[in-house]
Amino acid sequence: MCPDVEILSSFYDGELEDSQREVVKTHVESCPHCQKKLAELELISNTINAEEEPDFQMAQVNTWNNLMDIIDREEHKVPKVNFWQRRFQISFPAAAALVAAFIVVLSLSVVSFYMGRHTTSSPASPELNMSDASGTLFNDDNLFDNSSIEFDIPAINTFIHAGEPLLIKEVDFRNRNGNN
Amino acid sequence: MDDKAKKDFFERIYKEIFPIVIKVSYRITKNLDAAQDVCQEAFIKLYNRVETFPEVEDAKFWLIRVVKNLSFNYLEHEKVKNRAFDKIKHLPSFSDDTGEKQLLKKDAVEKVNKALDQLPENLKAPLILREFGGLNYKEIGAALGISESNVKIRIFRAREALGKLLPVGEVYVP
Repeated sequence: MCPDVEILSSFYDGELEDSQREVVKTHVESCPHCQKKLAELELISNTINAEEEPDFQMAQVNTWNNLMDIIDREEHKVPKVNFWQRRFQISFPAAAALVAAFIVVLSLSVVSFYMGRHTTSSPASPELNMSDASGTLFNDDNLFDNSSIEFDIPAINTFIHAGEPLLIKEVDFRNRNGNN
Repeated sequence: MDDKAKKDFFERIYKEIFPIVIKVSYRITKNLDAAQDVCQEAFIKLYNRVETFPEVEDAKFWLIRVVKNLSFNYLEHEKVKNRAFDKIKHLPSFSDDTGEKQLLKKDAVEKVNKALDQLPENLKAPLILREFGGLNYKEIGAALGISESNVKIRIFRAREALGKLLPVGEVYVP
């Protein structure tokens, strides 16, 4: 009985185990049908391999050179680092100088802040807006340049201090004059 | 593994496996430039993880599988790209033979390529690895991730299909 073509295919590829191979070999030697089948398998293989092959040796050399170029480029490539992930190198003296400068600036800031709080009597600004008796605003740039300042208080009972609420001042004025 | 050891191991794998994978890729893509690109891409992938392969054999099967997949991907991409064109334009030219012999040979190669194109990938890949890669069933199974008996069946079916597509006596065999 002839072996299956699947077994003949494995026999053709030399993939049968020793014991099985011997049995098939003995059979094929005396079976024209199996010999024909094997010849067909060989023909298919030869037909597939009929095409000429290009120069694979050259391809091997070229591809190797390309690979080495790519690998070298990859290995020497500087990786991109995000700005916030960058590491900065600074020498110790420079770092110490930066810290010292920071401390000095901080100290000066604190001192100037406290000095500023205790010197409120000094004029805040050379420009001072004032109002006269009738409430009209005026500006006197030379106000603090004069050695003495004279104010003329109007000789009327309805005098109101400038800049203060009108209602309160009227009450105050009445009290001062004994009028309830 | 330091850089030198890594490169030495990589070179060993390259020398041993490149002759196999270039043939396999060429037979799938039918284009030497494409096959070179495919192999180059596969070997770059391999270099980036070469430490994960303890032996050349492990790298070999992994690499064959990657090359096979990349080659079929290329083929699919080309088929879509050149659907309107004749596929035969990719066939390599002949240099040695002249006259009738050359025509017969060209005709045979065209028929074989057409027949191979008609095979499904699961039959074509093992046959190419066997016929052009020279791998045995065990190696093909390891490379494709299938059992040895499955390889045996697929190769047989591929041959059977080719036998029907290439009737004996109608194709010139040099």
